[in-house]
Amino acid sequence: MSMPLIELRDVTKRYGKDEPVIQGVSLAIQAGETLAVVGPSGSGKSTLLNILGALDSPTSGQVLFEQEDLAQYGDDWLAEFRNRQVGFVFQRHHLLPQLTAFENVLVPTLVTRPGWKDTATERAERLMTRVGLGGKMHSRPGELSGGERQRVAVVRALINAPKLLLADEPTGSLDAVLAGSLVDLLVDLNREEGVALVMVTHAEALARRMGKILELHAGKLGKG
Amino acid sequence: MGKRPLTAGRLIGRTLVFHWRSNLCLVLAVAACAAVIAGALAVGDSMRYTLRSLSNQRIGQVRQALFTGNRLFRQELAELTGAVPVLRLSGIVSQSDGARRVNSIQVLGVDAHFAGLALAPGFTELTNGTVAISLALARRLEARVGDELLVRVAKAEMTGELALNPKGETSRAFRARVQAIVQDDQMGRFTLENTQAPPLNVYVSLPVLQALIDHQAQVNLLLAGPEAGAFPQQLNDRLEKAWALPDRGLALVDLPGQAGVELRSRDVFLPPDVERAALMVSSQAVGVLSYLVNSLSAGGKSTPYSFVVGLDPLLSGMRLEPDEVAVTDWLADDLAITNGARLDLRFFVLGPLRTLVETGAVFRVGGVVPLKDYADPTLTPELPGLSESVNCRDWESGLPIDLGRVRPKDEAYWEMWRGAPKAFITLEAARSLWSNRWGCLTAVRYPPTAGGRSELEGRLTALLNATDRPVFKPVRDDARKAWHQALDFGQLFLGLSFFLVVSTICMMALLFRLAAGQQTELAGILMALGIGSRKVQGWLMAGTVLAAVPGGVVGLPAGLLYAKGLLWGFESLWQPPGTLRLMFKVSLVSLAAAWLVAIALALGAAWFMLRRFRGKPVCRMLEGLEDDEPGRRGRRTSRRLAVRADLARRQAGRHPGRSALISGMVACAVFLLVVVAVFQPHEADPRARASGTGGFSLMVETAIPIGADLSRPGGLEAYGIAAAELKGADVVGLRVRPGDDAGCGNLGRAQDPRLLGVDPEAFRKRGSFGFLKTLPVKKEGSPWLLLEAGLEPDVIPAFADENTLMWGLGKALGDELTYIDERGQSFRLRFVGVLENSIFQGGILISEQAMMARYPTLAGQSLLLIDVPEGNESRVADLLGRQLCDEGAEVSLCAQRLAEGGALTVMYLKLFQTLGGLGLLLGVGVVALVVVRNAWERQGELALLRAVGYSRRDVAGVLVQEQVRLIGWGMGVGVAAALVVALPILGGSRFIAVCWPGPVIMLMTVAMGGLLASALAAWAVTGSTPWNALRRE
Repeated sequence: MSMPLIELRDVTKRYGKDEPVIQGVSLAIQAGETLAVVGPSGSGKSTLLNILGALDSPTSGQVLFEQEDLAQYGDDWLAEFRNRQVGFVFQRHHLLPQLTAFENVLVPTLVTRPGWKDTATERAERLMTRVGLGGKMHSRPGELSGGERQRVAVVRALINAPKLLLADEPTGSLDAVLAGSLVDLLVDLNREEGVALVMVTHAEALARRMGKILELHAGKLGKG
Repeated sequence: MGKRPLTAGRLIGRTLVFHWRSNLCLVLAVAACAAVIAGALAVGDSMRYTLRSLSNQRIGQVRQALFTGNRLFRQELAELTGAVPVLRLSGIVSQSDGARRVNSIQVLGVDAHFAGLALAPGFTELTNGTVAISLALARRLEARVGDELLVRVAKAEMTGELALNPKGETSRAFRARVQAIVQDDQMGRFTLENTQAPPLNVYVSLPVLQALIDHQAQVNLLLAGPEAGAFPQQLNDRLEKAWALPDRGLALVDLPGQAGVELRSRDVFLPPDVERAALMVSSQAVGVLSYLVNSLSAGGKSTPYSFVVGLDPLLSGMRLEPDEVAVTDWLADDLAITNGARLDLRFFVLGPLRTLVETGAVFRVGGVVPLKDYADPTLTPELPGLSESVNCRDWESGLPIDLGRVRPKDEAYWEMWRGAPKAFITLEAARSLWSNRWGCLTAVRYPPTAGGRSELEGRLTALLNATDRPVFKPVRDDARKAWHQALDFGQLFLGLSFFLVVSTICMMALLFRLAAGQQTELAGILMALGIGSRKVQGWLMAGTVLAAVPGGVVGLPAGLLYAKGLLWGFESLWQPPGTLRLMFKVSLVSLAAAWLVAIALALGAAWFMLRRFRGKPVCRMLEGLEDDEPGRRGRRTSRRLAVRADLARRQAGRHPGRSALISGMVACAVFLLVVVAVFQPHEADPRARASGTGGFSLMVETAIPIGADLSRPGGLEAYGIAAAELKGADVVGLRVRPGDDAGCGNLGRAQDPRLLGVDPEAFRKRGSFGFLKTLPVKKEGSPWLLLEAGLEPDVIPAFADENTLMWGLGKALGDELTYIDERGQSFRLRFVGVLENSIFQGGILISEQAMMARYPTLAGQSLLLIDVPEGNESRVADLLGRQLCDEGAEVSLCAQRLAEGGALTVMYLKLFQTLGGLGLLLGVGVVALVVVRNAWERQGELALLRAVGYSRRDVAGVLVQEQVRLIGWGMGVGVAAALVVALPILGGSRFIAVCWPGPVIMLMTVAMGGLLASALAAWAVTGSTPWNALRRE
């Protein structure tokens, strides 16, 4: 078996003295793999995703990205890691209302590697067109529908060509049709970009579109 | 358009524009902060500029000045030192018809050189019969060119209060037409005192003024301009070489018949230090003390008004015992006495303030000498009003001479022998009888063998100059120090505007706090997308800078307007009204400082907010969470509540930080207003002796010192006041050495404060005035006795009142101040006691004895305090004003003077209150802002309320009630805190609440204003259609 892209080893996360949100979770995700994490509300899905994306750190256990333990790095390195290796799609799209859709897509390029900026601009244009937003590039988030906003968020997540795409209930605020088409898009992009996709969702139908399903229940991981 | 890479600059710019409302508020907050700081600093600049301009006008181009008061010296010294000669006297002036009169003016005898010291040309040369007057005096007199004025000037006499001087000769008057009105920059503001009040000057031709007071070619002031006064040491060296015996009123004269040389004084007696030097010059020097005795009697016969001389045996050639007297044969015949007879001498003992006590001594006749051999009229000094008289009936001495006792044979004697002595005693006996504060000898004689006149003069001058020689004072440097060391009004007004600045900082903090949700979410998104936290914080700070910079720029012109308002307020509240004219000036440094500080404060507030990001997980920041975490739970709960008051209460607790800021700001302002209202200065009953009036009801200040003791019937009579008219009154006189006003009324720092010479015993006996603190006093002793305490050599104990010491001089108990005395010797005043605020504000009190020792030529008292029985104040005031008219008496009520002294303190408190009120008003604006912001944040919630049937008024009511609660809390806490501070000291203190209505009205106005602003804001923001907001929610 090849080396996992990212691996969690016996990860536990607790806030203060509360019960752990996730407990003893271990999992490995291969490059280009698709994975759905399902579970009831409060089961720790988003926390798991935040830890995978280095938005949060585990209370105990290890997070290894390409065999590198993320715990050994400081904030700046982790920021760079998020910028270059990870793409996020949040349930609330978190687009900046003051920027156009195109500019929102380019936000991760503000601190990108040298020489990438021009490439990223072309890539943004291509991806926007690819996701059907070629005509909405100069629209502000407030002028876009919910589905369009999520597609902008998807393009933004992919702009720096990450190896790992994390989607936290990306269809949560969309109707079934829009949700289906967004998942289609994610799967297509997974194939096209070769990016590993981890999606947290409540929807069983959408989860089944992923290559693997894991279920979190009371912070513990099981097969879905 | 469009496909350009995104840059951080564009992101910051877009964010600024997108949140333009909150950024506009930030711009305004920074503008307000910059305006307040710039305004306060501009006030400081304006004050400094005003003081500097006024001091430049005051001294013109004068660099150094030498002023000797009543000691006149040769005008020739001006040429020898390169200075400009001036005769400076005090005086009184009135329109010739008496319609207007101004006391306490300065009469300046000037020549053509004086004009050269002015900053601007135009000072015209004066002729006989004309005067020029300063602009300020012209305004006070309402005089114009061509008007005739009556000017009375004090005669500069070293022995003005010596009873030998003819009464009524302390001043002389003349009439003259106004030839010109001297503008401020033409030396129209010239005075040596550091003051901002324009002096009231009359300029007279120097020879005319000299002739008027019988002191031809003599002056008492030298002014050195830039050329002469560039090097003070050089100037003083030139002065030392030139300063000679005539400049001390001394003369070495050849005695008739080559009998030697005699040293005489213009002022009858040789001062003690002169006597010492004169006797040291030659071992052959011998003293002479001649005295006018009222009578020489023996065996029932009496000879009136005769001179008796105390002589050294070396001079007289007589061998007399101390109790023996040698008489001339004329006297022996007149009294029919021979050797061994008993001769009774009656004479006046000369005391200060023209006091005379007749006393006597008995001598045994030890010899009779022939008058023709001993008739030496040069043995008697030149007595004013006496020596020049042709016959006895023309005598005009200050002594109460009964001319009826003068017999024809006495007249014949005077015609024949003038003041030739009729009797001789030993010098020791004479000294023991007639020594007084002016001296112990009337002459020192040197035999021909002691050396020639010029040789003696040289030796004597050198000896005297070593210890007694006036020096030029660096008046320009002193003037510069006066404004340079003045209270920093920039800092003062920053202090007074403290609450305004705090309000603007609170406003900025609140704005950042209100924007914290947005900022946190923005930072969270950027950090989630892999942008480092330092970079994100840097961009957010850059956004703050971009909003703050124009805010600061906008604030500067507003600050200038604010400064003009403050200056206007300062001028309007200044006491006495209309006497202060401030010039507006602001420096670029102040503007830059205000701008930078405002921006720095904004950045500080931003940094304080951004600091909250540290250590917070990015995933939580993405939720835009603030620290007020419990509030979010409350928010959910509040939506379920239908009761409006509950909603308001819970909302107030939802953002505890924000609520605390608002309540805290209101509480601070209320505390400040209430405390300032309570701490209004208030004196106890002004008739109480322990009060600042000392229990005196009237204060009399004279332009020409009173040379008599008005606490005694004899002194009163000398001024035409019957003792009965002041029955029951207690009069205490003070000597005044003029100087700078060191009180709150002087905006500059006094360099040479006015000295008041008091009789400590008089105040001790009365128990007058209260002390805040003193150096240790002996058990059961009075603090007043400290003024007579013996300290180190050249240290004199002194008192000053609280305001003078702390604010006017910047000193404290135990501190010292250096002075130069009349002889050019320095001495130190040590503050051994601090009086409570009193009528002495601006002056320093020392004992009269110490003052006379340091300023022996200071004649008379210029300040009288009078305690009159209640109800007689106006009668006595009228009487004194009338009888002391020629002395330029200004009579005022002590209670009023005390209140005037405190008026400036009240003015500062008023300013503080007003600026605190302005701060509170700004706080009200912040409250309205919070209402708007709250409504904006809670659009969904408010829309929900509308959706379930609440009217617009109800919804607005929810918003207003929240603020009512916060304002109410703030006011309650502020008032309670102020009362906690104030209550323990209410009653029994010199500070009590006397000014409640103003602050109460202000508080009510602000509270109502806050509610109105909240209501208007709430009404405005609840006016939009709620359904969109509800759908968004």
